[in-house]
Amino acid sequence: MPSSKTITMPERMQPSAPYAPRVPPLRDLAPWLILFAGLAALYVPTIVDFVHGPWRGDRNSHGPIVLALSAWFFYFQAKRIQEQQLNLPRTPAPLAGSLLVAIGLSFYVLGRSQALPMFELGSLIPVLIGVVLLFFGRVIAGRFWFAFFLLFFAIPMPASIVDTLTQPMKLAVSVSTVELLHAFGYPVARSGVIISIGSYQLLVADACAGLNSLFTLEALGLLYMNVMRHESVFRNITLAILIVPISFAANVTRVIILSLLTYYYGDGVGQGFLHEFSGMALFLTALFLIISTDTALRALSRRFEHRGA
Amino acid sequence: MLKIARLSLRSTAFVALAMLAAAALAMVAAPRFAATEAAPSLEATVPKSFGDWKALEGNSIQVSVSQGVETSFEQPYDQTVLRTYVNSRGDQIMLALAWGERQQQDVKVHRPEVCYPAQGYVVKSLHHETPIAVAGRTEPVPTMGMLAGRGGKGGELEAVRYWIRIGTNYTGDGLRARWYILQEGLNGRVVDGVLVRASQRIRSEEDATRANALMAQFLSELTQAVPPATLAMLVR
Repeated sequence: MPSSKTITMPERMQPSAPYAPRVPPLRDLAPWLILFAGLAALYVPTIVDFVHGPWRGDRNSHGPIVLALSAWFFYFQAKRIQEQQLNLPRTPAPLAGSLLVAIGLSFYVLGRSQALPMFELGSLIPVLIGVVLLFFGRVIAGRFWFAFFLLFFAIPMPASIVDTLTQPMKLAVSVSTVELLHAFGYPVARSGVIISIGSYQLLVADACAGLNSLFTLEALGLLYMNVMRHESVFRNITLAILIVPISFAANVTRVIILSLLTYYYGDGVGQGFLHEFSGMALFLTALFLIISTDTALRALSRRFEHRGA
Repeated sequence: MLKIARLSLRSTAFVALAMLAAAALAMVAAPRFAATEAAPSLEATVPKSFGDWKALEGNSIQVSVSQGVETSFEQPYDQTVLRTYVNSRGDQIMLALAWGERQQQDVKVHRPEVCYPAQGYVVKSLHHETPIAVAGRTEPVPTMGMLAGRGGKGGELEAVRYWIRIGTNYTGDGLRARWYILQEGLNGRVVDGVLVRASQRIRSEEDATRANALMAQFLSELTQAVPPATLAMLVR
């Protein structure tokens, strides 16, 4: 019967009624809510524990910021894909998807039960890729690659790796600070990571080395480039690499500010409110440097393109 | 406004169930911490004088057992003792004991070669020292020797001798300690850990040999002087 055929037609082919409510019907919403409930069962306890644990110290304080940025980017990218109206093929890959989800979940079980933060939060990446593959397939998952990539920056690294990376950075920050202040005639001396200025001694702490700020800035910089959709690959890669020295310069600036504050106003000022403020100064310095570098790179790449044309 | 893609209710329910199962499994698989008996207080049970050694009154000023600024979560110790002992010949040895009831992958006893640089020292040498004979163990305890200084030439110089026990494991490097903690954890056990560290300020690097021998003797006598329950915290 022809009438029965129209009933079995996929529903999404039907034009949406003009008076359709803005809020999607529960029937469409329910699967998503179930999926989010599952994710929440896994990662809400993780986030609660991390807020009291790995994210609290200086080492991984960038974690929640990057996680929030990734979440926002998932939304942003989904919207962008819809607005482009590319009609990307939805080709669910149940096998690959389930496999990745299974791998992710076993990472989660191992990480959460054995207190391995890297595995516990790291499992989010295979779980999410798996879910997207499972329901939408490879093409759409590919469109979200940057969101998955961004999540890598949120994973806490083991303390031993952070320490080995942080130690030389701390030393480099201390050396640069002392050299610069010395050039301006301040009475400074350095022994290891301890800076003596006037009658004060400052210990360059882990936070000042800026591994966490480097990660946050790198994530922010990459996000900025992705959202701005720079076409020039040269510019993107150059900027991504330049963020490393920029972050270093910003950290040296921060330690110099703290040293001078201590020198002129004493210990209390250097360790008090202004210590927090210097963290802000760090980000402002870095942001300023990133935007200036980007502008310079834009001018540079235009010039090259003109010459090539 | 984001349009919502249609998903199959059955598949999402299946995935969500798998997630719930994983969350439950993680809870079940987590090693249970069994507080057997209350650990004695190190401060109270480690004698202030033993053999020829007497603890100096007042605070012992030495390199702390932490790693710079840490939150209470990252602080892996439940008990710490920092003292300076002196003998009849005027030799001074600084003792640092740091014991934590639960050792975890990322929250475990800090190694002196990490603590010292975090507090401005440069590690000049680090090597396996000869094991020390102790009470309560038939085999001697493997130890590490370290030489650390700060302030360049004419600055401070310190000879350090220590062992770190995590469960029944004394192997030095972090990766093996991690593997050990993981194995114990998968078997449902949470292990304790301790840092037993002696250090001595010395004038020149040539004095290190004598300091090392003296510290070995000091640590050996210390294990003989503590009551059995305390000894079980230091060596096993």
